[in-house]
Amino acid sequence: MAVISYKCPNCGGDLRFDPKTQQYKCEYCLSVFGEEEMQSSVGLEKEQNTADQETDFQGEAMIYTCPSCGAEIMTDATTAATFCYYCHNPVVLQGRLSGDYLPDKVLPFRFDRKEAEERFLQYVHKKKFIPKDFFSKKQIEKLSGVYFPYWVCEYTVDGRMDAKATKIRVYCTGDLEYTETRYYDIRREARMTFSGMSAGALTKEERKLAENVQPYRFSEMEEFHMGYLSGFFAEKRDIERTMVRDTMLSDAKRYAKETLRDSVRGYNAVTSEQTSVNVEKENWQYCLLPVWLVTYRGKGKKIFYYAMNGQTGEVFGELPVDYRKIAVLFAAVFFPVFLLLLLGGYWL
Amino acid sequence: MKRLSGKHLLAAVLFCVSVLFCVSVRAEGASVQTVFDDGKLLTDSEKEELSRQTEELSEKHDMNFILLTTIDARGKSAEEYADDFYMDHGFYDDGKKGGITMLIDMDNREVWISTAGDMRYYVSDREVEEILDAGYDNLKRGEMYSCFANMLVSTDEVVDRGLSSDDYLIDENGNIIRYHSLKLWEIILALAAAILAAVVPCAVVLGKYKVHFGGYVYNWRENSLVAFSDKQDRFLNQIVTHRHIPKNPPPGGGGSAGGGGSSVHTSSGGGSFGGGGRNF
Repeated sequence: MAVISYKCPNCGGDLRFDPKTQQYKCEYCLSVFGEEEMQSSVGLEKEQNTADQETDFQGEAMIYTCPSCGAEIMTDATTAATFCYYCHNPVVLQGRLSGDYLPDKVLPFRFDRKEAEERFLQYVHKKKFIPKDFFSKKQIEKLSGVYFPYWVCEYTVDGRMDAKATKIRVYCTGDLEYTETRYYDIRREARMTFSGMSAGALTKEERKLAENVQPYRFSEMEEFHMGYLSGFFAEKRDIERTMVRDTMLSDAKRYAKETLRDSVRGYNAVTSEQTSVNVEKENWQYCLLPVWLVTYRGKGKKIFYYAMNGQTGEVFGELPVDYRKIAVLFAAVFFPVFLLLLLGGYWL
Repeated sequence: MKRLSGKHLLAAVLFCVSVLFCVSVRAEGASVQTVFDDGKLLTDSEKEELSRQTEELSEKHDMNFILLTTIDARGKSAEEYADDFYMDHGFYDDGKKGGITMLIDMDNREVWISTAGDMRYYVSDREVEEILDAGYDNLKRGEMYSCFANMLVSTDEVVDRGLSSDDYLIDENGNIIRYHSLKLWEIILALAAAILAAVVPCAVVLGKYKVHFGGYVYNWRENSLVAFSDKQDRFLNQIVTHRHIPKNPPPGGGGSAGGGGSSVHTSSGGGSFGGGGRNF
């Protein structure tokens, strides 16, 4: 299987995707290359390694040879892009993302590691109930950009709803109270398109964190190109479309029903609803979405994990809590309320 | 710190309870004289029996029950005599919640009830009449012991009815002073409500930091395109029913038993007393 390391045509250093400029940058001679140059590969030297030494490790872990230094790189079954442990050059395992596994789209990282770090610290410093001075730059153990595999789909469905509805009006004339009940027959038919429905396509543990940093703006997705992965980690999917389709389909049907039901307004009661939903079209895309994973060592040596949306900067993860601050919050609400109620009870 | 505040709370509640419902346990044997038969209208055994009754009531309600007779009011009215007697004998500020003085004044030929402290709230003007009624017939027949005994029973009933926000004082200038109090259930309710009010924001913070309820949910409203091809609301029929609106019951009606205003005045000694009397 091919292992790719993107090399600078000027100096031979490794080329990495730079989220800031959305271009490819050589870390050594600071040359910058555009997307087109990468695509055409003109002047770019891909180091390929026809994997003679590739070894199957019980069908799970695999060993590759680093095209830069020749050291062995051991990977998980789902790793698609990583770094050489020895020379730290970015390597892309092309075979992991080709054929059936070639992603349709990729959402490139929008900000680099430095900015991710700043955004993360900004986020935690805004939180009022974490222990004071808990978060500092030097305790961020690891901050890595990872492309996670996702199924993104768009459902177009035709829905129809029949229902009965009643409108009740009460009015008075003199000492008589009138109740007017009006009965209606309701029908709704609509074509509905739900776009950007997503399902994680990785069974690894990290995905739970990663999936909670959604939503992404899928409109900004790009056609997939291997080069985007250079300088980042990437995972390939191990969940197939057939495994998530049922859930997605029932979700789409549910959204359709709710959309139809929502369009019936201004009634006191809607009864005997009958809805039917037929799928008109479904469009699936296998995508790689960017996530910054943060590993943070807390004071008690406890490790905290966070995920940050590589596009929007949304952070998700368990935060440490300073219980003294919670106690203060409790007291700050409890005592005034208690005193006010006592005063109220006393004077009334 | 949380535990500490809990302890403080408990202390605060216990304090309130003890203040509001202090059943002062007085040392046995330190019995105070409560029957003053200056007019020599009672026999020794009658005095003893009345003393026993007043002491019992005094312990039950934490208030003074003073019985007084006189044949010489020293030129004072019955009201002044009763008020001054109560003050001069140190009952006014002996630490009890209040008290009542029942005076049979042979000089002015008047029976007088004087109330002090919280007793002013318990015994409203209407209830003064009620107590006087209880003993008046006996008084006219010269049965002094029965007169006192009946008035004591009546007062006990009045105090047992307790206090409500309906009880208020009317001072000499006509100002109304309401009775304010906290009942145990009010304190418990306030405590529970305050704990609930304080737990909610703490739970929200903890939930956000630790549990992450919520997480990501696909927003189908924002991500959907809807094109209706049919949208019908067809009117079928309507039904109209009517009913007579019942008249509201006339306002007023029976007032609450016992509650009401108590007229109070300031005695020459500076104390605030309520009460009333009747000639015989």
